[in-house]
This record gives sequence, C-alpha cells and structure tokens, in this order.
Amino acid sequence: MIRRRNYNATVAKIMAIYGKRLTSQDYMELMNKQSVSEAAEYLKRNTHYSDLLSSIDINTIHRGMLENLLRRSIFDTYMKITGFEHISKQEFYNYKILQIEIDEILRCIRFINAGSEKLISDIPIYLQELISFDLIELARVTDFKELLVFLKKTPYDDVLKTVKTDADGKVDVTECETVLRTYYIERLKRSLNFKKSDVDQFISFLETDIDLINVINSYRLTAFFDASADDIEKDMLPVGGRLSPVKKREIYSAINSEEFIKRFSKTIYGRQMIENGYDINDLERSANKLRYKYAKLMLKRSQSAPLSVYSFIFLLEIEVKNIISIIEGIRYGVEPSKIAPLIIM
Amino acid sequence: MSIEKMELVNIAGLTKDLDDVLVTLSECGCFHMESASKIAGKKVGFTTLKEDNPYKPILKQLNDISVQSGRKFRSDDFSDIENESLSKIEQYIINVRQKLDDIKTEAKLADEKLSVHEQAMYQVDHLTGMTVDFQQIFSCENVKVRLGRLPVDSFGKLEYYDDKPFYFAHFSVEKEYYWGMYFVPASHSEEVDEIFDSLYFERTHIPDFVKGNSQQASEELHKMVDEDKKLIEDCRKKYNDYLDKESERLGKIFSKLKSQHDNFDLRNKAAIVNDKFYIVGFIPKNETERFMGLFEGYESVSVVLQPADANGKLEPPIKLKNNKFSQPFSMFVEMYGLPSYNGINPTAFVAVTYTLLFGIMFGDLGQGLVLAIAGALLWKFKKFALGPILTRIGISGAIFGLLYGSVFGYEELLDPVYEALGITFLPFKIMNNVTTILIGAIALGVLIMFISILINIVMGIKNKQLEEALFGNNGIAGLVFFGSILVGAVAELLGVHIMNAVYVIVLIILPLIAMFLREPLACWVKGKKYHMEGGISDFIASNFFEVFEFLLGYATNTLSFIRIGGFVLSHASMMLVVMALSEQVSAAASPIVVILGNVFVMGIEGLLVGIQTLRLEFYEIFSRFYSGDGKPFEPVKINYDENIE
Repeated sequence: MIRRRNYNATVAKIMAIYGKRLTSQDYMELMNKQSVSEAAEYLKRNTHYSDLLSSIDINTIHRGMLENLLRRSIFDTYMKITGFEHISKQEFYNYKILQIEIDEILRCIRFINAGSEKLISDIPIYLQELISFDLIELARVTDFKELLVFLKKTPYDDVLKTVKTDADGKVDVTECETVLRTYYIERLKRSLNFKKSDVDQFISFLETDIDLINVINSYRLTAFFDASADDIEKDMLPVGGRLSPVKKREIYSAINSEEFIKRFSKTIYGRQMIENGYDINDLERSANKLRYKYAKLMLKRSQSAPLSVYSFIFLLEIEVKNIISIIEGIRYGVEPSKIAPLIIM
Repeated sequence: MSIEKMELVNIAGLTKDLDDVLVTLSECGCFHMESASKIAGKKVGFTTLKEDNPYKPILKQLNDISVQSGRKFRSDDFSDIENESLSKIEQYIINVRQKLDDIKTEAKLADEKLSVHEQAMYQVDHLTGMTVDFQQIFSCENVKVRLGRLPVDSFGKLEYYDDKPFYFAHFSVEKEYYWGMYFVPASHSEEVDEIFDSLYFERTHIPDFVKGNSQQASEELHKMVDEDKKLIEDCRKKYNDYLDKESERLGKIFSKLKSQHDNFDLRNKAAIVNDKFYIVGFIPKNETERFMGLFEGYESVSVVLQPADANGKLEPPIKLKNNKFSQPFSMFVEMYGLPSYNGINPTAFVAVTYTLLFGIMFGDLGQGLVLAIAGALLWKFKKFALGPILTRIGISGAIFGLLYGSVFGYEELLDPVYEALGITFLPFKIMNNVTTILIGAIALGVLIMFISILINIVMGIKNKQLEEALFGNNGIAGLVFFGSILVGAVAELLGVHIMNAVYVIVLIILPLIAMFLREPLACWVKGKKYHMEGGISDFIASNFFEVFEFLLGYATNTLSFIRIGGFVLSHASMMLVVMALSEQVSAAASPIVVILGNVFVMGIEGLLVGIQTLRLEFYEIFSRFYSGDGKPFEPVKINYDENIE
C-alpha cells in the first residue's frame, strides 16, 4: 500500500512564513503614513515584503504598480511553499491557477460589459507560462461571443456556454461568476486526494466559507437590488454548508437589509459574529472577519500540507487586501481612523 | 568583608562660603550628600534654594558641538582660564559654533550638488550604447523621445499594442526594470504617453547640463561627481582641522563649566535660613580625620560629626568592604541590591560559593585555564568587569578538572600522572560516578542552605527580629525541622532507625507548630500582647498556606541543587560527543574538531553554568537571609561623562 507523505517540512515552512505576517502595530504604522511612498518605504524596511520591494525605487513607485507587486507576492509565496517539497505537481495544488484563470475570465467579462479597454495594464503576465490560455489575446477580446471562441479549447467553454446573452450581446456577470465558481468548487473537491480526516476538515472549511460568501452576496442583492428570494437563490453557489435550505430561504426572503440582518443574526454565523464582538450591521466586513478567523483556526490546528497551504494563502490574500485598502486610503487622504475599520484581522 | 562604618556629618556656615564649601565637598571624594530639607524641615525656618543653573544654557551649546562633531570632552586642567568671565566664554562658543555651521553649510551645498549629479549619472549609465547626442534627440520636431524605465511585467504587455505607432528600445535590464526609450510621432504622443503611463513607465528627465552622447555625458558626470566628493572631503577636513585647533581650549572650558554647573546643582540640596546654610551627609568613618582637616581654613563653618544612625530620617548609605578575592563579586551583590546598614555583606560568601559551584560544574583543567587567561586579558585590555570573576572561576574549574582528570575533554590524559604519584583515589571519573555526583550535589546544596539559615538566625538575633530568627522557616524552628527530616531520612536509608515517636514529635512536629504560630510566639518572647487581625479562621487559613509553602520550599530548594550534578554530567557528555566526532573524521580534521568543540562547549557550558550558579545564589541562598534594600554610597563629584540635556 502506498503511504501518503505528510509533508511536515512544508507545514513548518508555512508556519515560519506566517510568523512574519503583519501585526496590528504594522497596520497602525502604515495607516499613519502621509504618502504611498512612505507606506512603501515602511513595507520595504520593516516587513516580509522587503525582498519584493528591494529593487524598487519607492520614491517614484506608482500605486497601481505597488498593488500589482503585492498581488504578485502572493503567487510567488505560493510557488515557494509548494515548490519546497515539490508538491505543486499534485492536482490539488492546481487550485491557485484555476482561481487565477477564473478571476481573469471574470475580469474580462466585466470589462466587456463596461466597454473598457484597460484590462491589459493589470493582467498578471508573469503567469503566462502556467495559464491555459493566452493572456494578451484575452485582453484583446471585445465581446462575449468572441470570448467563447477564444476559450473553445478550454474547459471554460462548456461552463460558460449555458449563459445567455441579452440583445446587446452582454451577459449577467453574477451568473457567469456563479457557474465559474461552481465549476471551481467541483474541480477542487475532485482533487482532494489526501487523508480522510483532512478531507473532512477541508470540506467543512470550504462549505463554511461558501456559506459566508453566499451571505455577503445575498445581502448585497437584498440591500442594493431588492432582489426576490428566487432571484437570490439562483445566483448563489449551490453548495450546502451549515445553513439548511429552509434557513437560507428564510434569510433570502427578507424584504430589506434590516430584516435580512435580523434573520441572519439568529443563524450560527450571526451568533458567532455577536459572540466575537463584530458589528453585525456591517455584515459584509463582519462576514469577511469570520472567514479570516476560520482560516486562521484551520492553519493553526492543521498538521497537513494541503490544509496549511490553502488557509495560509487565503490569509495572505487578506493581508494584501488590507495593505491595498490602506494604500488607497492614503492616496485619497482618508483619516487613519476611517481606514482602520476596513482592516480584516 | 563587612560594611564600611559611616559618620553623619552636619555642616553649617554663612551663605557667602556656601559655594567654596560645595567645591571642597565635591573635590574630597568621600562625602555622600543628602538633601538637608529632609531633616531641617520648614518649621524652623529653613528653605531650599530653587535657582536656575546659570551654566546650563552655555554648557548645552558646548554639548551640541560635542554631539555634532562626535567628539567627547573630558576633564582637563582649567586653572589658566579660572578667572575668565562667563560672557567672554559664551562669546567664544558662539563664534566657534558659527564657524562650524559655515563649514557645514558649505558641505551641505556640495552634498546636494553631488546628489543631483549622481542621480543624473545613474540614469545616463543605464543608457550606455546610445551614441546620439542627447541634445539632438530632444530637439527632434516630429518625433518625441521619452527616456526612462519600464517594469519587466509591463514590457511583456507591449505586444498588446502592436498596432500603435511607437518603438521601445531598451539599453539595459535591471532586476525589475527595462531601461530605455520610446519613440513616438509627435501627432500620437499623447495617446502613447497614456499607454506607457498605464504600464507604469517611469520617465527620466535628463538635466540640461548633460551634453553629448551617453558615453560623453557619463564621463562628464563622473568627473563632476568626483569633484563634488573632493569638495565634501575638503569641508570635512576643514571642520576637523578647526576642531583640532580649538579642542584644547574647548576641553578646558567644558571642564570649568561642568565643574561650576555640578557644584551649583548641589546648592539645591543645602538648607538656608537667613544668611546661614546647613548641609548634611555621610562620610566613611576612616576618612573622618582627613575630612575634618579640609574645613580648618573656614572661620564661619562648623562641622559636627554624629553616629551614622543618629537621625532616623536619614538612612546611612552602603559602601561594601571586600578583600581582593571577593571584590569582583560585589557586582553580583549590587545587581541584587545592597544590604542594609546593619545587615551583612554577603560578597565573601557569594565569592566562595560561586567559585566553588562553578568549578564543580565546569571542571576541566585546560578549559578552566583558558577561561582564567581570557578573564585576565579582558580585564587588562578592556576593563571588562566580569574579567576578574572569569579568572577566579576559571582557576576553580581548572582545579576541579585536575580532580576529574579532564583536560580539554581528554579524560585519560592525567591517569599516568596520578599513577606515578601513587594516588589511587584520583582522578574522580565523572561517568563512573553518576550517583555519587548527584547525591553529592544535593549534600552540597543542603550544606549551603544550612549556612544560609544560620546566617539568617545570627542576623535576626543581632537585629532583634526574633520572629524570623527563632520561629521562621529560615530561623531555628526551620533549621531544626529541615535538619531533623534530613538526618532521619539519611539514617533510615543507612538502616539506623531513629525516627521514633519522640523524635518526630519534638524535632519535626513541634518546629512545625512553632512556624505556624510564629507571630504570637514572637510577641510572647518580646513580652508584647498579640492582636489577631481578621479572626481565628483567617489566622489559621493564612498560616496553614504559608507553612505549606515553607514545606514545598524546602523540597524544591533542595532538589534545585541537583542541577550542579546535572551540569557536571552534561559538561562531560558534551566533551564525550566532541571526542567521538573527532575520531570519526580524518586525522587532519580531528584537531580542528577538538578545538572547535572545546570552544563551543566552553562558550555554551560557561554561559549556562554561570547563569545557573547565579540563579542558585539569588534564589536558593540570598532568599534565606538577604533583603538587598540598602542604598549605595555615592560621594558627590563632578561628572565629566554626563551629557547636559
């Protein structure tokens, strides 16, 4: 019988890198900086981003470029940890590439709908060798029909084929997102080829995370689009977590945001938000805080490489989002006291 | 090996003599000054002087010169400028500062120019290979040229703009950037500039003074940078030369001002009534004669000596009296806290026990001698305070190494010597006597604890603290209890049955009861009435837990000494590993392994044993008889090292 390796060294390496994460003190220092250059200088001198920024002239750095570099650092770290014990060839670890491909396709659809041509500037060209389609060609796509032709030889063609276009040739982005994310979850679940207890733990984490994503999206649809329960249900990721279909239906049927929060507060997640002292009225941020908390728990409890990699990269993405929020805040002269609530930790 | 006896000094005189008296006191080096207001009080009309020190601002200016120039002023003989007026000195310092500021401004301007030239040079150096004159490029009317750098990521995206009318040529590649220029028809420059902006192209503006092609411009700029650097160096030299020229006078002025400043500060500690002053402090008893002689020339000043404890409001300061051997160990005592005036100076006890315990744990003839020599050298050349301690404990380690027969980890090297001398009971092989070493460690610990308890009993009786001395856990009751348990246990192990009912009741239970009732018993012995606070239940509960803690303390403190044996074994084991490793490598590498292994073990083991011994001193020994609440004897003096803030 082939025994599965534990890849304990990868877990240890992740914990070592995680130990260098930004602290609340770092966030506080960053928020109090007067300019993007000062913030970049702080990151370069005092944090684990110093290597990333070592060859960058922080006095002239453009905000967009800094943000791209930070996003790129997530992928570099992902490559570093999965390359440490050569686990990147296992199917599960392809999840990050899958995520990036889906994100790029969705970004392309949003640009098509908005009629914008700026897609190219933020495309992660450094990933070209790992991605299953040509990123430059993707940036040249101008309508949905063209996109389907472009994706012809990829699995995304089948996934997106079912989405209907309107009279202007535009598509519903939410619907595209739902089908693509559903495809991602199915692929991810199929790749869970590790110890049963770890698989169970991972599925539990994934379903909880999807529950919270669904809560965020359904809240937006209720609060800003007055969507009906049927419409909301249609756009949600069809994966069951700790909320029963009846409970979900009850929340989706809320007539406004206040009612939504009232109903949600009685669910297991609502109660946890209250217990943790999160502001349930700021539902979106509180849900993200809960997602962060669960990922942190999984990372701390897990001794298995796939769980550690997944949760660690998840936490790193939130850290980068936090930094980007701060940089944007600084750029637009927002007071540190108003940036602070945006930080998820 | 005791505490220096002190005398309380009261000095009174007319205020016209106050400054001279203060100078005398700060020069004598043996007067510990107290604030006179502590005992004079306001009720008899005494006030204290609260004046701004007039020397402070000018001294601060001098301090600024010192900080900016990185030169420290030291004490110097200032007799030849003693009578120079303060205003003249002040003017001189202003002139010096002005001159130094002028040179610094000149250097700063040169530095700014250097920065501009270096920046241009950095940019032009990335354009090597461009043979066209910059002026020609920028004077094109129909084609716009932009120099700068493009992120590597963005370079890959240029392909997307194949249909746009521009050409990007790069000259060099850095880690994250392509350095180069793009050409664009003037009619499309706005659109293409926007594209490059979105790709985070960082444009370089070549200064007007850059002429010729990239090579000519680079050569010219390198020349400019060299000239700027030379100018900065010249300024630095001018600055240092000027300071060298003035340093002697500045040093004298600093000494004069610092002396006047510190003496003036002492005025705040004197008490004043009408035209009289009053100063109080302490001097060591053996300095009395010399000290009294200093005031013979003052007609209006009277000096009265009293016993050190004559005034309850003033606690006498502590000056430890140690012999040559124990002197360096006073550092450890001061680290813990000085003894009280009527207490005991534990330095000698620390010196003996520390040296002994360290030697036992570190026993190796070769390593011990190396440590002793290293300590002596550190003291001689660096005045490192731990140096003399290292010498003493190193010798102790060497002596025990001799007994263990261990030389740099070679455990058999001394065997023939002992054989030749006919000594059969030595060397004492550590690895063959593990049990003896562990039992011996505990026995030594018990002995040290007994001595500590005895010291506490003697000091308690001397200071009339009967509760502690007679009935405390470190008093007679504790000693009897602890000793009886140990004697009984050892006797039982040896097969002698002495733990009968009488033994248990008289020597174990009775002392326990005495410890439990120590407060009422102490009152009874002193003939005082005992007031029970909080009722009988509180009394029982609190004393029960305290006695329980005493019992735990005896057990843990005793076992704590087992670490002595532990470190003896660990030292021997680590050297065994070094020796085993040296045997596994080639003959050429073997000595290197032995040397590095010895250095490693000496470093790690020396540090660990040093810390552990200090821990035993502070926790297991000092806690039994020592409080460390005394204040140090600090004679007033001019402090030439201190900065003025």
